[in-house]
Amino acid sequence: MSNSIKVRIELRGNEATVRMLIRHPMEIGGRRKNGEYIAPHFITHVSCKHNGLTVAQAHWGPGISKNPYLSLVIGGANSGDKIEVRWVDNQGATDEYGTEI
Amino acid sequence: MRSFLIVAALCFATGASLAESEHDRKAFRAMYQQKFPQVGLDDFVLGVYAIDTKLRAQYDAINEFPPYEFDLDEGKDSAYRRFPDGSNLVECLGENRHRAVNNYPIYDEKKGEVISLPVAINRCLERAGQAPLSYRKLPLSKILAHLNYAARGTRRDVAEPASEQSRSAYNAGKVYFNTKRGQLNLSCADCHVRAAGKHLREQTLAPLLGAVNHYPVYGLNWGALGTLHQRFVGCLEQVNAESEDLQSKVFRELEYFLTVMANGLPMVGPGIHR
Repeated sequence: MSNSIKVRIELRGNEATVRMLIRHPMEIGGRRKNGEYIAPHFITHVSCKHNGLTVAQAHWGPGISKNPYLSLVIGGANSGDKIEVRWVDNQGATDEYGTEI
Repeated sequence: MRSFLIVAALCFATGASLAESEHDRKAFRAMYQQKFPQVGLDDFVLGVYAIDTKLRAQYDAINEFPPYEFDLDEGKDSAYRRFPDGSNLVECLGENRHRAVNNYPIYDEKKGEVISLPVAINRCLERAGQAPLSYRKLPLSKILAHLNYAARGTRRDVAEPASEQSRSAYNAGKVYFNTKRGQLNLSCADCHVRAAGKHLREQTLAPLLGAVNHYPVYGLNWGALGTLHQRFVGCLEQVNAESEDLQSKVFRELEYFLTVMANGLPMVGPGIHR
């Protein structure tokens, strides 16, 4: 699946800058559209693994923008290392994407 | 002898008209280059980012991972989706008729109107028996974004207005550009030529030389892609003027004028606006 995550990685020395764009409506809910309430639908948890080790976790709420962008810097990275990104939303949907530096 | 004279006169008229748009372009460019001598000619296509170094830094940072990336993928899918007759949009727009994105808008001598890229897309769809796309909705903007992204690296190459009809369309666009309108009594040229580089509240007024080459744009305040004509509507609303329909005759003529001014400059779309 993984068509909701785009990742770009830039390696400088031992530092890898991981940039990611996640496609998600990030609906805060409680609004009405044509008289019907829109259910909240937002990402609650994002994690990034480096060679299987979780190096970053983010606990998000409805205050994050639609199609969020996140970047982080990982130390001790080498070319060929595995990077995995995963998100979970409040409706239980999830997606993950793995790539190499 | 008489017919020879008429032919000579026609040739002269055509020659003079070619010179007219070229003369306008020369003057248009010279004016901006005199105003912003530090900016290279090709950089003007970036609009406000060409003249404001702080905004340019923000623009470059956003472009490391532009927010329209997913839209490009969706636009590409729609552009290459096969019609029932086996062709697709890209073939219809380009190869069959030896035209590329950087050749639009074109002047259709038979119909006597300017054909912008969105109108050409809808003509293709209709010919293939598909429903035309709304000019104000995202599916069309996404296709435009993909087409312009794929055209990066080329330069705008629109045919100069040579015929009587195309010259009158060009001139109508030029007149529209220079006509004051709205309660604020401002023309396009007032803000984007005379006052370019000055500040309107916290926004820098953008120079317009080649700015059409970075459309469609991802509006950070819209959170979505928007077309050139949607930007025209935005400008008209801001000067409290009555707006025109998207892809209306006047807007296409204005686009024609601006695009002829942008001839020879690089294609850099889609862009990013605040």
